[in-house]
Amino acid sequence: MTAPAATRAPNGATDAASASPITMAQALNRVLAEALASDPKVVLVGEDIGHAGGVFRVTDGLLARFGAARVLDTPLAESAIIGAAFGMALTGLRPIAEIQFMGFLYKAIGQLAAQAAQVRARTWGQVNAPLVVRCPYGGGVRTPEHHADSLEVLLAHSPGLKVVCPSTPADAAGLLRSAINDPDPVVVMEPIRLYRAGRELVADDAPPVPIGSARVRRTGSDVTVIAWGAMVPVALAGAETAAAMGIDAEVIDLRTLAPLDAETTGASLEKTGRLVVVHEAPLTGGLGGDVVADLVERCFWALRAPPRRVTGCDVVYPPQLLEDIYLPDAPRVAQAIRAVMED
Amino acid sequence: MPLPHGPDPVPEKFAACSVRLGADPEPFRVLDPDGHVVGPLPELDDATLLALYRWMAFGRALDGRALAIQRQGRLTVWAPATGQEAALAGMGLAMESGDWVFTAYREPLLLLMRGLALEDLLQYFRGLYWVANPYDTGAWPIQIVIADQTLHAVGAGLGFRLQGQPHVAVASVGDGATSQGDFYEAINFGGVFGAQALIYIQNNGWAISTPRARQSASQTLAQKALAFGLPGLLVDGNDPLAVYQVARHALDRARAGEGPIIVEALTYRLGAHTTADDPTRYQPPDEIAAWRGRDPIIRFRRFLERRGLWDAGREAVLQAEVLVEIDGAIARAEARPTPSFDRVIESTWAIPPPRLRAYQAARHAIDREETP
Repeated sequence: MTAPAATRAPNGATDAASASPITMAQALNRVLAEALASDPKVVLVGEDIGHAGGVFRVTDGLLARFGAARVLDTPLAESAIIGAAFGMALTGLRPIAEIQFMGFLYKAIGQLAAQAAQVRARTWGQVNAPLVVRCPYGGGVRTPEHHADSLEVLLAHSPGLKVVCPSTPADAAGLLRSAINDPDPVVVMEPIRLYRAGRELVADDAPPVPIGSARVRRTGSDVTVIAWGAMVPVALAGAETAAAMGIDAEVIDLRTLAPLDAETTGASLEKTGRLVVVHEAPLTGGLGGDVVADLVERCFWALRAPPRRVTGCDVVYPPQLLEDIYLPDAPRVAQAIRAVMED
Repeated sequence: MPLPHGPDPVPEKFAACSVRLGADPEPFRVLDPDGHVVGPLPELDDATLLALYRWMAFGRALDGRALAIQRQGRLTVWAPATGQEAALAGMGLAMESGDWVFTAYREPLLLLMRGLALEDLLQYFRGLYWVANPYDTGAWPIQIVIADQTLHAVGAGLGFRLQGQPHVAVASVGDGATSQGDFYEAINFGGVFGAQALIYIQNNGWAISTPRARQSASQTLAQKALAFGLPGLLVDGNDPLAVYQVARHALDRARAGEGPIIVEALTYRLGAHTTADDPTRYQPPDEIAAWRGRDPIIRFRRFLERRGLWDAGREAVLQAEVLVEIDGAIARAEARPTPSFDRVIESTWAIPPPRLRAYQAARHAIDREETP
């Protein structure tokens, strides 16, 4: 929160912030503050989220405002953060946990995917774990090893979990609101690259963005391009390049990775007949394969060309000086768009 | 939320069983293996002592019946707790209404003592998810993944503390669990936040075929507490009156917001790991014989007999009673219909996502075709 304390309204919003464009990091901070202010059951847990305000400052100022019983700087232990947050959720709290970088989620995947995600099923629906896990994810900002992973497929493959991944400040706010309101564990993948990449007006009273709803970011008639998170601006840029070549691409921001919004993607493909899916994670076993398979199964007769995927390749996430070669970019997206037009 | 200040001096009664640097702890003990009183008796009336014995006998009888019907294919699996009845019943008696317990799979007796209905428990071992609502009794579903529940108890114990609720969450684990990272993350986390939790290790000597010595080079498992700023207490796990008193102390301390205690109960697994295991491949016969001589049920029965509370006649009546009770629960469990697969679909998320709904619809269509 950049606004001075004196301008803070009781609900946690700031007069200045609601009237001026804010970044994704600020939008997330505002929703966290609102949740802490409006629901005493909301508790934040994570590494360096208190005094430091989080390594990306998403929780900036929240410890000072809500105190150490609401904003808990934890020991440096990811499995404990998720496992204990799950236990806290069972007592009626609504913990919002931060995993500092998604690459560290490997250490907590058992507690998330095998425990928190499964408790509802394992009790025939009698117990639910209202737990939010925020994970900064993705590359492109020269982070060290293990700081740039996109692990959505581990989560989308885990029954009981929901996964959202915003690409704009307003969607970040709306999706985080929905995640906090959800009765089941929701992972919010926050693209590190986009935390401060742009600003937009985010209304204080903007409704939550429903989980499971994609958003058409650019309408077009020739080809459907599906992306999420940090790849959405890349897909949009690729579509603009293609537009210069006379190709009218529709770009869909998936926004929720589990469960998928099959209606929006299906309707688009029925219209265009051509499909490109863009993601940052490696190709093999990537969510793109699932998105393509789903659409081929449902919309086969609308297809006018084989679908294409623009993804990371099957390598360990490369070191900083080589990561730009790995990451899908606008030229690669434009090339794929042109290719599906020519196929 | 003030942070806890580290381990308190333990009460004089437990000084000798408390882990300290440079001193070998003596397990807290009230009864010797022959049932003679060698330590401070708890303030329990005769009715409670008899109830405690009844639970232990119930646990032993349940193991017998469960193993028998598992061999008939009526249970998918069973993990007997024979030899550990005192460790389970002492803890079960010490817990209070509103307390929660997160166990592994060898603690049905503890769960039943917290109020879980046996017929509900049996549904799990017949091959279903947990049918009882954990909020009704505080008995949480059996945990299969070793040590995961330690973090759940610590998280719940922190949740109780943050909400000012006077409950304690007990994590019940075995010696094998102390080799897992989550165990250490849990006791560390619990210590830092003063979670209203109790970490209860039943050291029964074996994790399937892996002996205690192969789990850790440390002399005791309770001494792990030292490195995390927690008290650690060692107790004779085959002495229900000792376990009860140590558990009571640890629960009271956690309830008062003074942080978790690690309790290690020394006991022995006199049966197989599960019905899929053959312990004769690894448990030395002389070790088994030695521990049979420390049988917790015989020990407690002799104590009760000396106090004039028990005799062969009452034993015979009790054995007949518990079998009727157990067989009644088995019959009721087996009479329940198996839930439809739709129940699984409906309980994975609050609202099944569209793709799962589509699967469900397709499945129903197949079912209709197959139904004449």
